[in-house]
Amino acid sequence: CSKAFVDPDINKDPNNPVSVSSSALLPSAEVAMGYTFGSDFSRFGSMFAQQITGVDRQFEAYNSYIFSTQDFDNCWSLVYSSIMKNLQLMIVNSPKGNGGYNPYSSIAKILMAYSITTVSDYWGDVPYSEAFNGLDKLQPKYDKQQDIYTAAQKLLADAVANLALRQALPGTVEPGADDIVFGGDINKWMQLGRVLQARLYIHVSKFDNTAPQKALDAIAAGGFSSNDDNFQVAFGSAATSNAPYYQFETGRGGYLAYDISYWSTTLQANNDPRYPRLIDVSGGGLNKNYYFNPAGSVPLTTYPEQLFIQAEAYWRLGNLPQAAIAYQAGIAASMKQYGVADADAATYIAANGTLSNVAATAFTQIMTQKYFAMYLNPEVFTDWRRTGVPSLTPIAGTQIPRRFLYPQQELSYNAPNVNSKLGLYSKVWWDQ
Amino acid sequence: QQQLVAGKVTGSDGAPLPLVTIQIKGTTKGTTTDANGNYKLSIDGNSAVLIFRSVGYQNKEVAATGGSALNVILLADNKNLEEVVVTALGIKREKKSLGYSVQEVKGDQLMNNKDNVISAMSGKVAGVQVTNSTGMPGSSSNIIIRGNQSISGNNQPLFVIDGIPIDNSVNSTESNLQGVQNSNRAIDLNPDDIASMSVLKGPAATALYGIGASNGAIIITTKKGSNTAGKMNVSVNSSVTWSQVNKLPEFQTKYAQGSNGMYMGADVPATRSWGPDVKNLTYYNNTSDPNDPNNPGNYLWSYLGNLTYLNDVTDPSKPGSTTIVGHKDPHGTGAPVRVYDNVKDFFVTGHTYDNSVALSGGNDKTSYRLSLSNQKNNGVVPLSTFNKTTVRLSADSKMTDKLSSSATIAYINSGGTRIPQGGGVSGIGLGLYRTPITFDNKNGATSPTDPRAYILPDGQGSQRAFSGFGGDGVHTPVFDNPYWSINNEQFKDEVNRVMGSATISYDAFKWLNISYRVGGDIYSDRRKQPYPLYSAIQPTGMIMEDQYLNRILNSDLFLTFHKQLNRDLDMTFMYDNNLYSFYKENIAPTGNNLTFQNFNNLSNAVNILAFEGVFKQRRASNIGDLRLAYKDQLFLHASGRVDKSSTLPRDNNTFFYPSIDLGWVFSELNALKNSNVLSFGKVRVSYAEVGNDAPIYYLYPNYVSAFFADGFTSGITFPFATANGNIGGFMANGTTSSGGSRLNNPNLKPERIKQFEAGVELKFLKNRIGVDVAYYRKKSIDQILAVPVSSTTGFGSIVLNAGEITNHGVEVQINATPIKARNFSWDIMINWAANRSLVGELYPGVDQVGLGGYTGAVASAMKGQPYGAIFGNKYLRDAQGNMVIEDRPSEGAGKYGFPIPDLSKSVSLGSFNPDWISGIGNTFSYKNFSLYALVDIKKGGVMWNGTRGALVTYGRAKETENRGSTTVFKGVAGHLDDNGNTVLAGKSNDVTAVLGQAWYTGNGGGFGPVAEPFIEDAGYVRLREVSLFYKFNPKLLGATKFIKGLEIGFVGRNLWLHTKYTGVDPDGSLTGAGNAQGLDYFTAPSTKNYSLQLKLSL
Repeated sequence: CSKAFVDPDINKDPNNPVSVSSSALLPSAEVAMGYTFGSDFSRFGSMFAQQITGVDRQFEAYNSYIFSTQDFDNCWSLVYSSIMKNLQLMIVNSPKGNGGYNPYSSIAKILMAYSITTVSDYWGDVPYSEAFNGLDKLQPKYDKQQDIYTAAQKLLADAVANLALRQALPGTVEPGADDIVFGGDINKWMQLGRVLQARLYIHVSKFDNTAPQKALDAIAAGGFSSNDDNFQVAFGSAATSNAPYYQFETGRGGYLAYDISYWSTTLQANNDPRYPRLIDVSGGGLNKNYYFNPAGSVPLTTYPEQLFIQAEAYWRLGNLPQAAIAYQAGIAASMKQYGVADADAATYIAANGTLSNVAATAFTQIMTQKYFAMYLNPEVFTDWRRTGVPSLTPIAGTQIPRRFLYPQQELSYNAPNVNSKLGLYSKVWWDQ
Repeated sequence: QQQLVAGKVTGSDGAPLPLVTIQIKGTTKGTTTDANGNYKLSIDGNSAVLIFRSVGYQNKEVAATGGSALNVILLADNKNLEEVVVTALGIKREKKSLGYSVQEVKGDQLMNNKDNVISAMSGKVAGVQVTNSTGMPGSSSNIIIRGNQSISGNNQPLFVIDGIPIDNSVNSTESNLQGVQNSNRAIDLNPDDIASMSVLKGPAATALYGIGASNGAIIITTKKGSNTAGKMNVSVNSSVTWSQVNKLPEFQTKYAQGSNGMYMGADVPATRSWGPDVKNLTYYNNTSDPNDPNNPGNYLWSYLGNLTYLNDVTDPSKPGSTTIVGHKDPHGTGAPVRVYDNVKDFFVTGHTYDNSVALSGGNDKTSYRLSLSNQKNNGVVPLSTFNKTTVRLSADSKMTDKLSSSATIAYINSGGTRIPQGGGVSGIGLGLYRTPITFDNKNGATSPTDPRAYILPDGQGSQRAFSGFGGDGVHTPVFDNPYWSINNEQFKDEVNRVMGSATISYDAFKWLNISYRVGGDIYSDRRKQPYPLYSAIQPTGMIMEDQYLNRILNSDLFLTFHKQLNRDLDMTFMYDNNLYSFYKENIAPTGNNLTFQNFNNLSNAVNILAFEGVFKQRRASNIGDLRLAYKDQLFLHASGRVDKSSTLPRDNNTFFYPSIDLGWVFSELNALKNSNVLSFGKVRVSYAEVGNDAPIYYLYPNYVSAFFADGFTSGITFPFATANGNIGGFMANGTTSSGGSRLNNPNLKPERIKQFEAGVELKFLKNRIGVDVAYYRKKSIDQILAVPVSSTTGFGSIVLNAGEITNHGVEVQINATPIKARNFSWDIMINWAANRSLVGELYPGVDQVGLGGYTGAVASAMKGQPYGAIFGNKYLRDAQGNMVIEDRPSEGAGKYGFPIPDLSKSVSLGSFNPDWISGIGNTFSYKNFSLYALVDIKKGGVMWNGTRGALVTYGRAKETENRGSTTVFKGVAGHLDDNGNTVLAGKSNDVTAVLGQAWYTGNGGGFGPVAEPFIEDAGYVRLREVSLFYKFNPKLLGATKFIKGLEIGFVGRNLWLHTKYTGVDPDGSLTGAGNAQGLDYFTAPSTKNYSLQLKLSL
């Protein structure tokens, strides 16, 4: 009687599936990236880089570099368990097609390379090689940031090479509408893979003199050709699909100010036509056309970024004429990205688009324009740390933070591996 | 020569008394009555004196004549009523025979608090800790017996009514840190239906319920009809109760809205009170008080937050506007700015009306009781209500001498209007307490429903609040005006519930009884939480529907063998086959993006997300239970139970556990039997184990529809709305803002709890003084726990058999009657209990498991600490424990000369569990008056006063009135270098620090990283209950004899409170019933209550 009454099968969860296809994992991973890298990574990073200012509640404390280790738990959890765990499942589980062509796995590798290097740029050494293994590895070791860069370059190279198989051997299940970034356009994924290769090279170009040429080569193999190729995540008008800055401003209005930062005052002083496109000039908040749009996009890797990478690479190779071309194109592309009228853009470029012949000045110009262009992009904090441009004054104390604190969960649950001594002002590998 | 005496023993009501002991005086010979009160006894010779003894009745000696019938009526002995207690499975047993501790609460002891049977138990039972949540009507109460023994699972005891387990869970529609206070479902019980509640504290008492009762059990027996020879008794209870807020945080009343001493209104928007001294402000160029009721209604607050003329909304700079300015301003010629006490003005006097009527009666075959009760509760938060109507019918019938049956069924309708509170931006908490003194939430309105208070006259229904506008620029403030919350965000819930049981009992043989009981508890719970357009939590509007269907079915087949083995040894063996089935479904659609205002129907939502959950569990158990009684002084009891549960792995889902207990009534020894001092003495000892199964669906890894949030925003929920339509997306297990994705585990085994208990029970001086002391030690191991892990594993937590907790403690119960005279008596009841818990090994590498709370102050189970440690950061200390004070002037205001946060580790800031709890009750009776007072004491235990932390940052807390004053922090000078090492200057701190905005909004406030200053002692001493009743003399009730009894009285609850805690009543709890206690974050206040009661019987 009790055998029939207690049927163990009634403990099979009818509310959640035991397996799903990669096409069910891709959209959630992509949206999670837009959301996560458009949230604390962007808010904290851009605050350190003085593009925005924390003025109320927690963010007033953050603005003076008052953080607790718990403040970094959420962004860490999101990127490891909501993004990278699912990317890892796609990398491992996606079925291969003809000739080994595996679009879901390759796309996941590109997104994984973006995610793990951004995590590493913000924290330094982080778990990767032993991560995502659940019960089998409860305390993953920390990999050297250098090794993570090597692994990420390999992910990107493998992905681009694999995606290239498509032309020869069609006939595999490919992403379509489930790919909310590129709608299944494999060529755009390959472009992104190459631009990310270039980004990682330029991060280390300060001490690796082969890196600038490698960055240029990667782009030359097929990078972005316009803002239409941008890697950005578009959000939706439904309240549960809203863009992260829109959510933050509607839910946490007043925590951040957008019109008093170094970035804001500089753009205002320059009469930069991008400023009124990004900032609501009357109210001081974000402009409804861009970041404050509920269905707006979070740009992660863009055509203007690629052009500024090229400008920097040429500059590092001593090729100022080519650098000047990329520099001006970068400003122009940035104007386009933000919807600045052509005439306004032309006026601005006429005044600011000429690269100096003096190498040091030219470098400052390139990096400053990149700083202006990549508003709220997590890459801004990385660029500022590795170049020191623009020159910023600490808001509190004598230093500006150079990394995130390892989160409390690592101190609590991965104590043997985490270096709890590292503070906000310690420098990551490429920042030494 | 032997002769037979036979007869029947009844109570004064005519009901037969079974199990009455009959002894022939001067001998050890005797017998007991059968189930129908009949007895037969052989006596030597023609006559003898028989002594009739029955627990709860006065002993009676009667002379008997051989060969004749002797019917005896025993009179109830009120002093000894407690001696028969209801134990597991509804079995009534003599208390003296038990080898474990049981404490009983009579139904009338619950009648002083009809709101919630759990809160009515506060202070009345040793070792039972009740924590109430808020004074909101319908709020849940938490009950813990002998400490928490599950790390993150359920720690509440099992509630059993007339043999059937019922549901006492709290279903939450939103996170328990915000939204409304939901009810624990035992709230549905009508206290007037309860005859008694037995509190079974340890597993020896609860072994028969096994799983589910591992935290103890509350066994409720409802009132039944009795033999009234066919007459119907009618009893009526009515009361009206007034309730008021009993304690609020303290606020500063000096400084206006603004920052750095400058006045700034909602137009900036500045939400905080760091503005100037209000004495230095006037209204701009306005000579009359704009809120003067004699002044025509020309004034109102514009959406910019400033007072303006109605026709000047668009141009506050225009002369005639009443913008607030400094009095030295050229325009500062207006009336002085008025100070508003928004908090005090907000709360109202609540009213509760309780009415119940019960009809009962019966004859020698059948009896019945029918009751009807209604409670209508209007809370201290305007417009909050909770209403409850119950109907219960019980019937007992004796069909033949051998066959009897009984049944009880209740229907309950409960629910009301709840208002969101706690830490959400919508709800009354943040908006009310953070409002600066210069802003009038009411806008001059006198009625809480007056829309002038919370809606701007802009034609769009925009919200009026001090916090100005949110991100959409116009319509939505950062926090809701509390009047917006009470009018527009009314959470409505309605429960329809049926519970009942039916028993049939057959005496197959003299030594065998077969009985079967079946019953259930089924309810639906429908809720709706509207957040209309321009609500702070969701400016585009949101409607949350939440529907539950809950069903518990339970079946027991009992075989009871009873045999007097010889003159001294009595044996009872019981076998029980128990089947238990649990089913719950939850359908919760949430509508977003509402089309227009105040139409709270899902059809008004552009985007609808739905949650569907179905949860099933079944258990089958076989139980054997043996009781041996030797010479009525030595009692041995042993049980064994085999459970099979659906929530464990197929191959490991059947498990056995035993219990054994021994009681020795040593006062029965001949040497002690006739002692004038010791009337009763017993020692008892017990050991028991209880197994526990896993929560539902913890075995198989799976995927969930994607959801993620970052702690600041509500995040993304799939299906995701793209420009090209909605698209679904899944993730490996659930992911929440706190990294809560859970990896299930197919290799679980059952949990175990082992408990040892010893006790002694003594009564002196003819039972005038009684003492009961219990010591227990229990340990739970192999706990099934979602162990938090580093997210780098890909998961936030992994289900494992991990973790152990030990609890040990002492309980003392003292009853005494110091005075017993003809017209006056004085009874004392004292209970005292101390429990020490220790969290042992959790899992290698895991020293802390969060139970709930906010970043920086998490109620936790921490290895090596008592359960319920508040986990957070402290200020930096040197090796000697001195605070290190920042010695680098470059650190600037609010840091140089101030304590430094120690971020290298989070530590325990104290446990919410008290050192001890005690209740002291005194009853004085003088003629027809009866006065009762219960003092409830909780010593120790901390609470995180997050409310004060936030109000410090907001410049609203009383202590921020010291802004501008200076202090030299006690400690040593030093700082932290870039590598996190402490560098000491080698001297004491001598820097004079200026207290103010920089410190309070930084490291010294609640939004800074250090929780240490906001941990407070939450101990208290309170007058929990006081009552004065007058019982009318029946002779005075008139010649009609229509009225049989009439009592009127006054009852006060919570009238006096002494505590060091600076926030609301420390008996409150942000999260309501559940494990994460000790947290206060804008928790709605508790109440004190005054009521008039009338008890009438016809």
